Amino acid sequence: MDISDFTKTTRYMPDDAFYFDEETNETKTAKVVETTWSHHNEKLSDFTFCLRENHEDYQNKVNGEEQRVMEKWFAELGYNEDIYIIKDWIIKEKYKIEDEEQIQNWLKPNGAQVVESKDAETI
Amino acid sequence: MTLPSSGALDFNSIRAEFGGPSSNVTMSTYNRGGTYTYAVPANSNIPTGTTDQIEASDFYGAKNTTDYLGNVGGAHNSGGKAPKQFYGNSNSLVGPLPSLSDQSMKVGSQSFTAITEFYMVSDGASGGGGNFDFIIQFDTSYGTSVWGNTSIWASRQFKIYNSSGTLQNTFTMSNCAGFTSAALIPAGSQILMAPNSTGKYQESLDNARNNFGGNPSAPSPLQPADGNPALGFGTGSFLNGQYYVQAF
Repeated sequence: MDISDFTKTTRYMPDDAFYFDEETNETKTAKVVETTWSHHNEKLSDFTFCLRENHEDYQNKVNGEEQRVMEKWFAELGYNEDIYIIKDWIIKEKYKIEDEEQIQNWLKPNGAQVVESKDAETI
Repeated sequence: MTLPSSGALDFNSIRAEFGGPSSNVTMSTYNRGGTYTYAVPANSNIPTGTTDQIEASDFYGAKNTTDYLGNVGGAHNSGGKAPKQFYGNSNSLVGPLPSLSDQSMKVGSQSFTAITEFYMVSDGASGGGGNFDFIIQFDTSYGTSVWGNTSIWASRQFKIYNSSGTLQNTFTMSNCAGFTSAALIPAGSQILMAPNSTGKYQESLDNARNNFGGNPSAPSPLQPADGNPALGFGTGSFLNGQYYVQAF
């Protein structure tokens, strides 16, 4: 299930914030940006995140919060996290066998990568 | 950047530095070890317990999380006759492990912002059955620009803390990790460098010293007697839950 149908908006908060610039050794002020995530499924909550403008880790922190928002929506939808997992906004079964390596491991558990093959004469 | 060490400091500035929601914000949101305040030595003045007294002055000089990698890891066992036990985070290589919410960290003086894999894997139903490996996928875009004759990786320590800020383990890369020059790694063996040119570090491939250390003509840094990658102990189970990584 894809839950990437949401809107992300930003706006400035009314009050500026203080921070210490280690390069100039000065206390400075900066605008604070509020990011809001609103899902098009109205049953899911809106989430907000505030960070000062030009924060050196701005994008990583917003991305990290977006990941947490995704997991909160996943929980709000009532999925059992022992059975399901969400990655890149897609909810899927946690232990579903999908890629070729997994398939081979289950079909041939003693494959060549695990036990070296021997020819019949050696046996 | 940090918060000011003296003078004006308000809760709005604390939130603007560490990040946080715009409503329903409580001071306990910023307890050390919480979602927004990493349990690392730079934040040692900030209380950990949600019932501890906490005030703005606790945050004088407190540091945001830029330099550390902080994630909530998971566990996964592949099952089958040759099970593998995984601990940590993975955006794509290990499907059942949770993705990384924090993808940035500093290694030496170099900042990385697109880390997509951080996990350990060992053999056996519960781990510790034999082979062990440690995988980190750093930014692919950096390519070889941070590898070479002045490697930032050689003997690099990765200190891993838990949610209380207690050191759980220290992983040390080999003493020739990251070197690419034929003058340092014998010609034809540059393929052994770790991390490789796509930014993937794999402990089991960090073995140039193993292959060429016995060569008496091998130049420094291949000469030191013991330069293999090393983990303090365990199978990586300390990556199952909140963890923070320091590598600078």
